[in-house]
Amino acid sequence: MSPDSAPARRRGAGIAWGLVGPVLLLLVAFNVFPLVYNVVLSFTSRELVGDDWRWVGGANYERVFTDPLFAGALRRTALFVLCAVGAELVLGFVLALALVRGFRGKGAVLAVVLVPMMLSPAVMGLFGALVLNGNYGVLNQILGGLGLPQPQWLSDRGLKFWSVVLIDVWMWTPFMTLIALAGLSSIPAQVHEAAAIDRASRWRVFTRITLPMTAPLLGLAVLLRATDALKQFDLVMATTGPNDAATQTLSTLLYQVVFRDGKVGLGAAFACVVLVVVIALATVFTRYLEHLRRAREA
Amino acid sequence: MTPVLAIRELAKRFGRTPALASASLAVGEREIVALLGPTGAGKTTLLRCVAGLEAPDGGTIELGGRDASQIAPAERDIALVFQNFSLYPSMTVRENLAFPLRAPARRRPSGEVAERVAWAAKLLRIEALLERPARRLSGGEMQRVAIGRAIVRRPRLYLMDEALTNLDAKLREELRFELPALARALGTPVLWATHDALEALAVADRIVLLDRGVVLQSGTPAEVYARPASPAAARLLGWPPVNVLPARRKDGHWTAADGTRIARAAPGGPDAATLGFRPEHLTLEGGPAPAEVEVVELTGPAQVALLRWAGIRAYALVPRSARIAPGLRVTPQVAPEHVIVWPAP
Repeated sequence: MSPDSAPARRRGAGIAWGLVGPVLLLLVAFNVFPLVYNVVLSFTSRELVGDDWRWVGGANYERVFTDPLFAGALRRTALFVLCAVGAELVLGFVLALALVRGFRGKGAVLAVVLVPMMLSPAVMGLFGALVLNGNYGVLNQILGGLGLPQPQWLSDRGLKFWSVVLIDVWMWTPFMTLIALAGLSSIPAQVHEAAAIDRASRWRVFTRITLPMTAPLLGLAVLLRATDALKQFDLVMATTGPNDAATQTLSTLLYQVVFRDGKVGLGAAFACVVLVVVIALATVFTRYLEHLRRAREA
Repeated sequence: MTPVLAIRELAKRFGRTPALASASLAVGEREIVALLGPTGAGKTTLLRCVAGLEAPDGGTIELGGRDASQIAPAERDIALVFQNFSLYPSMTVRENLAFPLRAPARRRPSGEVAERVAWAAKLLRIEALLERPARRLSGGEMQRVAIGRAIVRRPRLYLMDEALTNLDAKLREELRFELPALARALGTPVLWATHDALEALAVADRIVLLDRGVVLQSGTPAEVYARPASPAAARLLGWPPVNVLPARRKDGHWTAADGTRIARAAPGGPDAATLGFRPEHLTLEGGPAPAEVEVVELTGPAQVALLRWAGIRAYALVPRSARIAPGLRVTPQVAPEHVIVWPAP
């Protein structure tokens, strides 16, 4: 019997479905069904408690696009991503430049630098809240000891958003450092040596060699961090809570709408809009990866 | 006259491994000096010390009579062609070539930069590659750009670290003539490290033999070839390899351990010695003792015969017309004037 005869082909197809099936089942149960169900919910007035609901058409979406609460959260999240990731990139790269040269105890220093990244965001948020506490926080004790003003980091309206940014920077700068270090160490020593012999100035070496050669990896790190920061939830929950207008991000607003106000339908519509934004970003992300791959192959 | 480069008893170790034990050499004005040695001899380390990329553990380096330890790599005014390219991967070929000319210390007007880049590109046949990113070049192309980056400058000294090794045979042959001619035309001295004896013989005014971090001998190619200072020096230069065997003086002749008479010994001198003779000086007829041809290899212009003779495997270079084959019985002899005698250690 030749291997591509009809019964053999049927048996092959059976094995293929047997292998793929469980994964497909999981995918449908945990991805496709919730997605579709969410879209359906977004056209209803469904609430967290009670069975009294009706179809409301595009009313939820209208509310999402008109209510300043949502626009504010979107603006705040964008600002958060921009400032936090920007600061992480710059600080992380500077730190990596300082760490790339070998020195005694480099391993230990690196380990200490990486600790914040290893902790769970909820833990980092609680730590942050402790350190920044206006009354007994370590930071204000130090500031007081130095005779400096002791602002209410987490309750001052103008400050608390920036406090959350600060904690995020504290937590994720090590990630940028790690990626930048990988990029920097992949530059062959000979390239720097050639530049030294070519009498290139430090600035020229930095702008023409170091930066271009680490840029692809840094871009990747920025995209990873940006998509993550877009979902910012834990730090806000642990510091100011989900209901504080000054620090409300997309995720915490969603939490507030669904779990405090119980408006599942409205929350679903909001989630759909956020999903579209995330898909747009993900497209940029995959395009960039593709661009990197092609650049490497060329 | 002060040499452009003078190295005295240079020593460098990496951890416990000595790379250079005691290396001394000098490169004069307009001189091309080949640094010949096998892989691991310390050639690259020596060049890196001269360029200022490594700090020597001992000895001195003088550039134009000035102690180089006081001069930063950038201030040494030396161009180094690395063994494995080291281009700037994020730049195009043109940018790579122009890079050294745009350094603040020797900033050139852009017209001159363009002119020199075009000149180097033409010489190295990379004109068609000028706009290509450096990371998209083949090994041979990269090496040509690396050479180009060195020659666009007018440094006081060129250091070439196996600069031609990664090129294909045809280009290597061409550049073996063109690069020395170029250096001579520019009047710039070159320290040319290579493991290829033929390359060293072809390019150099003087050859310095380096082995295991020690200079074995230095001199003109003809001197070093005809009068190697030691068996090790003789082995480094020339192919097929030099024949070396221990011998004792007996009845006025150098005699091998198995009793074979090699050649008449000049009166005076030691009783025991190590003898060396080049394969081209071993003829297959007229000698006192028989030998058997084991292997014959055709090299193009000549044949190489491997003989079992006088207790060793001896190489002989014979004309292409000679009719020899494995198993043939011959009577080798070597003229006394071609026998190199090193007193036995």
